[in-house]
Amino acid sequence: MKERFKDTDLREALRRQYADTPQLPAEFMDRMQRRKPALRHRTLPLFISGIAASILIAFLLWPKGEEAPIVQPEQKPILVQQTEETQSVEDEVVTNEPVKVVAEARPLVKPAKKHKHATKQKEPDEASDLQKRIAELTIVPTSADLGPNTLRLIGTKEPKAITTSITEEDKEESVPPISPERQALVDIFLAEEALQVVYEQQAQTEELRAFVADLEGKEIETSHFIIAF
Amino acid sequence: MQTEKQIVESVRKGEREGQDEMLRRYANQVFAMIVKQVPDVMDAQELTQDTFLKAFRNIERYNDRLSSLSTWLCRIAYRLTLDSLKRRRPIVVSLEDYSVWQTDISDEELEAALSTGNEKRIEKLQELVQQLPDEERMLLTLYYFDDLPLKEIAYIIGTDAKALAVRLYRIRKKLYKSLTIEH
Repeated sequence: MKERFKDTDLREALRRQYADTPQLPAEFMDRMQRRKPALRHRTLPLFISGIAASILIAFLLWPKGEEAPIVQPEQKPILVQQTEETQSVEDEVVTNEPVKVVAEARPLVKPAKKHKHATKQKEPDEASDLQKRIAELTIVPTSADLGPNTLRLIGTKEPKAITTSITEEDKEESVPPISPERQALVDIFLAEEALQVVYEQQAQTEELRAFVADLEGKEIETSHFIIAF
Repeated sequence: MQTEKQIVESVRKGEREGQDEMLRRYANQVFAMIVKQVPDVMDAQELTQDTFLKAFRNIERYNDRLSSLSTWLCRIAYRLTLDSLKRRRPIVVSLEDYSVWQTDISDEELEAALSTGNEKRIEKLQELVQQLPDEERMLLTLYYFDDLPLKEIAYIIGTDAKALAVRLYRIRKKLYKSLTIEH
């Protein structure tokens, strides 16, 4: 194809068409000078809108994980709940000292809690008071209930005081939810602790009963209850 | 006397002197191109101002290896003018005679048919040019009136030279067909 066609008719037609084309007015430069500041004014909103858009994008794309942790005041973590429940039971045992109160409030002659061994045995009258006393003592006594000789004979075994203590800081500290496996381990641990207390109380009772029977010159059946897991 | 490169550098730095020099040197050319298509002088001035403001804003995009500064300005002016014409003029659906495309005629035959020197034919062509779509009329103006090379026109209207040549051929053939139908 040719780079340039003559096409004189068409060329002449266009020349005539645009022959009287107006020239650029002289005031154009003045107008342009007046519009030039508009350039700077236009760039400023663009700059501001750019910043606003970037802030919006940053807000939308901000990772959700870094937000403040969701606090559920109504529902405490399971571990804290269980620890507090255990603590409340232990507090009752330690602070209220129910065994001591029962031992002091009730006279020794009054039958309180029937022991199965005590109810089965039918001893002479002279030994009935002693049997009742044994039944009373099936409740775990404290060192205050036992005389110095008894303590000397049975050693220093006392109902084990729970030393677990939860401070206010521990309560306030938010513990994250734990997995079911760990929860199961915690449950087993708590069960072992409870059984250990029961076992030790039972062992003390057995020893005391044996001691009393020895004093009376009798043989009693010793329970061979074994706590097995 | 600043060179084109110095003017561009000065405008890129945001210097008023560079902008003024660009206006002094190219405003007439840009205005002349626009005013041929936009009949109202005030509108043409407005579009010329828009062209330069857009050029000042986007001066970083100018690549001197692709075109001269004046061609780049014409490219901006071409697009702004077309947009303006599209907004102002109602959409006209031209019922073109598609037999034009089936007419087999060479470039040489067309050249001969459009170079008769016949006064009536020239006047008729003047009318036909006014009836052409804006883009085609602008293309003819750039080619025949401004005598710009095909490559430069192709850059201004945003196409390649081959496609432009085909387009030009079709416009010429359409004009020729219109002339022959009239006769």
